[in-house]
Amino acid sequence: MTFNGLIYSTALGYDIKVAVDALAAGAIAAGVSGKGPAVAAVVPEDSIAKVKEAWSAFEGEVIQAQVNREKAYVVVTDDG
Amino acid sequence: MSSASAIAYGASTVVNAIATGKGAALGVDLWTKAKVELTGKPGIIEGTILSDPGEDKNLIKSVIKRVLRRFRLEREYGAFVETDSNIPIARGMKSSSVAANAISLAAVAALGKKLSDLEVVKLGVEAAKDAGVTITGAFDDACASYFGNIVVTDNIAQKVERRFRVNGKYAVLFYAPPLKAYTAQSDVKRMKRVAPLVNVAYR
Repeated sequence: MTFNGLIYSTALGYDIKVAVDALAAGAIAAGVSGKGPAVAAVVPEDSIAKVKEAWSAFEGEVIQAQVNREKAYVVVTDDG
Repeated sequence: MSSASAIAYGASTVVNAIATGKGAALGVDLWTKAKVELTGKPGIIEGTILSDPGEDKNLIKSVIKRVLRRFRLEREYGAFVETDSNIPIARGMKSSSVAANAISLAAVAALGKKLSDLEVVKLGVEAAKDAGVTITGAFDDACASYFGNIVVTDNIAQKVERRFRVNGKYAVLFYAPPLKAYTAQSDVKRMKRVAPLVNVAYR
């Protein structure tokens, strides 16, 4: 994830600072997601606050999620 | 007329498949919910994206078309689709792959049909290509969204190579800058040039 992010960020002209700062703050992997511009970081619980603090230096939004282990599912069907 | 709702979860890139055709992605618990209501108006597919009302509805139309065609029911039904999501659009956060999964799954259920998970995913992937919202179809992202955990895929063969369960409690934090970058407009040539390096990342 980190190496992939470095390669694509360089090819696409993004600043790698966002990912590197997340790694320095305790993320175990970080890099541009897809074609960007969002950067994703996998972060152990005890480093979440530090990564958020590091990213507060950048203009934009920080979105917090967890790793998902659940499948997509049908919620409700109505034969009406 | 019958209706159904489905939820699909988010995904993030581990190894981007755009350069080599092979990729890996990680499921995250962001979500998109789609409600599909069948109508008796064949050829008419309408939709509302509650979370981003100004967005283009091509993906909604192409997923419904693919699903109806799969069952040869395009002359029987039209559809009204409503989607809602907490995933920002056009940031590399896989909003299209996730929406395609949720719409595809809800549409199959609304028709009262059953398909394998991979068939549902593939209908969404083909529809995303039809709609021009993705270059490769992003089979890796679609599988990570649909199945969760980490998936490693061959996007050209549309084959799941491996699945890894993620143990331990990890957050996935996204930094999303204000600018939007629509995938279909990104420079594929530039990205393909880094293919030899991406092969190293894939290994």
